[in-house]
Amino acid sequence: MIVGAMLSGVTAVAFGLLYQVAGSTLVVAGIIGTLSWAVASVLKLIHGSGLLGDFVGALIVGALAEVAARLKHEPALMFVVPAIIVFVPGELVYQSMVAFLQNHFLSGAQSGLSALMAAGSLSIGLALSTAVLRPLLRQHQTQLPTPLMHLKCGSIFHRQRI
Amino acid sequence: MNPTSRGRAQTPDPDVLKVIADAGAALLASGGEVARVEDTMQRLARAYGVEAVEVIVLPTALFINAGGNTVIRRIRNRSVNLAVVASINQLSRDVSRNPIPLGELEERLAQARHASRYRPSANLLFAGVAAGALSQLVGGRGADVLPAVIGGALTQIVRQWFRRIGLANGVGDMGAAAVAVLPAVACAYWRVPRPGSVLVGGIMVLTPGLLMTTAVRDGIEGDLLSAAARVLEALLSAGAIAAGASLPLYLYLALGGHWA
Repeated sequence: MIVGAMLSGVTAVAFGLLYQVAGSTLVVAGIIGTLSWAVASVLKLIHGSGLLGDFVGALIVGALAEVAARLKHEPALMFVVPAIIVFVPGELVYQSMVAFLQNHFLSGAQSGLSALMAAGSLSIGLALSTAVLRPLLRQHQTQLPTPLMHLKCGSIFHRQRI
Repeated sequence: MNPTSRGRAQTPDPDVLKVIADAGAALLASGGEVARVEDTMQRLARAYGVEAVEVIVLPTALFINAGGNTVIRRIRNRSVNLAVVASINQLSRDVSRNPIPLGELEERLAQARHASRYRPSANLLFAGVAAGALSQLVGGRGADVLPAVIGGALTQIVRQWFRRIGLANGVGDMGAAAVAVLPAVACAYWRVPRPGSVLVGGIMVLTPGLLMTTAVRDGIEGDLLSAAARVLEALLSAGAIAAGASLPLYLYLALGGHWA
């Protein structure tokens, strides 16, 4: 599970690089990816938890990204997009595809519908955290970040400005 | 100019509007949300003394109107480049704090529009690493890493090539997905136990993750037109990827290939 969380962080960083994200933003995106995957995989251990892991994972991605965006004055997209990729139900889509190709229509439909559901729960998780947190953070914009300001300054890589 | 308007700066310089529209178009074409594009354009307009400004941003076009002048930009090609989103965001922040001359803004905008931080060859490596890590996340073994890395890099090569020759996004996704499957098919042919994880790793490089995210964020902001359009685009893209990936797989299975 720890290996999985690390891999999730690596995936988030790699996708961030692919989408031209750079510097400390990338590191934060990787951390968000690691944390959210860790929580999601703990939740998936619960028997019968279904899509709860995906939902909570997306919720955490959205919430942390919103906070990070506020602290680092970068668009929240820079954090959400790399970190959410690992939750995309690629494997379910693949299973559905192979089942249809092998004429197993029932299991193909089942996997396909599960993939749609998983994508839906990701969207709801993201939407909920963003919709709730954004107005809250905007309200306290002036007071909240001051004790946390040092986070912004301590960038790990030298940030290149274009 | 206009005798009925009192005060000054009621009729803004059309060049200002043009530059602002260019900034918005670049932001929108690189994957920015509608609310961010509108916000950035309004902030820039205010920085250049254009107070009464109306902005409408759709997923495929944008309109900006001030003092009887309207500038329209049509957005035809969209791609994912978060570097452009970040640098135009930064530019609009800088400008609203201390305005720079219009010529300089134009220059910095041109730079921001071509902001790409890594070389295309480096992108191949990133796609490969992403595919390799994903193949492990979906339950692959150590032996699956190398084919998945090759799959991811191949996918990226094909996608970049298609983009360079100007193929439509959906067709490009389909072709790239078809190529992404080849290492997995080779794995299955030589009886590597889990070809599925190789396949998923290669295909996930094409995932329309940004479209899904911006669709959700547009929906929250109430930009329903854009949210609906982007959901549709994401679904079409996912369908194109699945169709493209199915073709080589179908041929392989129809020829009696073994699939774990």
